[in-house]
Amino acid sequence: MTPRNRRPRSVDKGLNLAVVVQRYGEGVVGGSEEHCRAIAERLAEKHRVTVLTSRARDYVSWKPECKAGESREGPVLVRRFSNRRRRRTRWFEINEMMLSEDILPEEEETWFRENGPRTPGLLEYLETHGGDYDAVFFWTYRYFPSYFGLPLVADRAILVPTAEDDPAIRLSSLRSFFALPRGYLFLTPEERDLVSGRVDGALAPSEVIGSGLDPVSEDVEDSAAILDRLGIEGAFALYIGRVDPNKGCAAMFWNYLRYLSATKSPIPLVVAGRSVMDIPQSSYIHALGYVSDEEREALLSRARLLIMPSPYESLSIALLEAWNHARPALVNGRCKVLKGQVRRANGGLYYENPDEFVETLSYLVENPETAQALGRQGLHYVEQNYRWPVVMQKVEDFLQQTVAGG
Amino acid sequence: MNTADSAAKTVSTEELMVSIRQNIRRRHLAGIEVNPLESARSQLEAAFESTSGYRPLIAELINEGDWRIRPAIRFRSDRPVVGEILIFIKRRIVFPVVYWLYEYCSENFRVQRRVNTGLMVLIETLAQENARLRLDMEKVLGLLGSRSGETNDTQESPPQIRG
Repeated sequence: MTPRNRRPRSVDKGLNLAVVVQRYGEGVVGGSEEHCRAIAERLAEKHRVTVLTSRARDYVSWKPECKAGESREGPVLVRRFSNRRRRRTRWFEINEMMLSEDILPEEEETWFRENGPRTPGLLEYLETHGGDYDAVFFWTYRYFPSYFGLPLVADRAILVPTAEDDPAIRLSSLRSFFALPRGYLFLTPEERDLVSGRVDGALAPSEVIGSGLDPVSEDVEDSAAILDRLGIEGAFALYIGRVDPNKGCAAMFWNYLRYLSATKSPIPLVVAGRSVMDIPQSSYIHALGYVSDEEREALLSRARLLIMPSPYESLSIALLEAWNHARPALVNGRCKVLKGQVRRANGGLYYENPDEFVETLSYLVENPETAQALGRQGLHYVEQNYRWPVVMQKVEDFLQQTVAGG
Repeated sequence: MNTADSAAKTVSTEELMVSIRQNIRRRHLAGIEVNPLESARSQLEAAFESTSGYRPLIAELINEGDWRIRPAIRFRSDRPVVGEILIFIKRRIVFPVVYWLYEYCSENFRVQRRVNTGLMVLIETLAQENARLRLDMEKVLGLLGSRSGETNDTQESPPQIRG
């Protein structure tokens, strides 16, 4: 299959590719946006890549901060389109309906419109110039540019949904939307299963690409000095990320306090990340707040294990980073993605209730050799599946198959 | 290292989990560290994780279709012509003015909805457990009754006299 009115093209000679994403640029923080940028820059080594995005940097207000128009950022051409700021009251009103799963089918389009960033110029551009591209990638399904832009170029659209099992995925209009793209790139097999279950008919051709990591260059002396500065001595379990009840942190602390009461010589818990909740007071819990990239690497290189309690994940980068340092992980087994990753990698253990949390954490602490073996297996899994050359080869093969008709 | 060697040295997450879960079960069976709230907690977590599909039995029994608290506000009007204007006024003028109050209330309603869901799950857990225990009791009583019946039959049967 090839796009309408097009002859099959050779991927090797380079394709003309567009990438649509809600925000783009250096310093834009967000899992999907960072994933998009990493892939776009690597695609640009072989192809002509144009990024189509808004002027916003903040996903809450969509305040237009960047200049509209064309600019070259690294190897890609970026075309930014004007967008309106989010009207908070209207957004709040409609988002409440979505969150409480009380939204009517006819209101769903309003939700996607209000979710922003509203970029009518981007849609006009896709309508008039979309056919100039061999493929148009769309990152995340839930924002205005993807939801309204993808149907305009469906015959050459490749969707990277970055879907999680949250209320948004259950919107009924997505059933027909998910039937539109020419192809899909997923982060995990669990995400593919989730989207497959939400589409009318069969899912378009897809590939699970994950995300890439570079090998770590460990400087043992440096990481020791950093941990000294942070006041951390000896073995510790690590949580890294936003400290938020939505990330499963309330349950993690509850479980950890149970572990403390059940264990004679417990391992301390180091919590690294900005907090939006109260952290229990305990001499065994060290809350560091925001940590720099350097400190993050040092913590991962010296932790005995990583705890990942999140109930919703489309792909846990922190988990992959822990394995990149050959550290085992203890993950929330109620999250299908995390459980699936740990089982495939044999890179740690999982828990589904507080008893299992206590038992699995105790096991990993009391059996360091097995824990290390699990960590090494995690590293092996990363090397087999999550190195950039591996990821990009999957993307190139997929392009060859679906776009160039190879 | 050949494939056979590396395969032999693989530590399996699943095998470890089986063994860890067996340990937990053994301890529970031995009556050590049993926490009666744990099963309720697991059920609560499961209910909160999939609130979309959760419809409590109690809601069915009281025949109350719209049992959930709905913090979302929806502007509507049945008036054919003036309706659009009224909705516009409510949405663009009244709603922004009382927005802070709405935001405050809706957060409380959200918490209340979770509390309600939790209570429903706990009550249903208790009802199921009660029904199960009642059935068990009936079986046990039935068994005791038949045994005592057998005993009585034996007692009432005339003694055999051997001559």
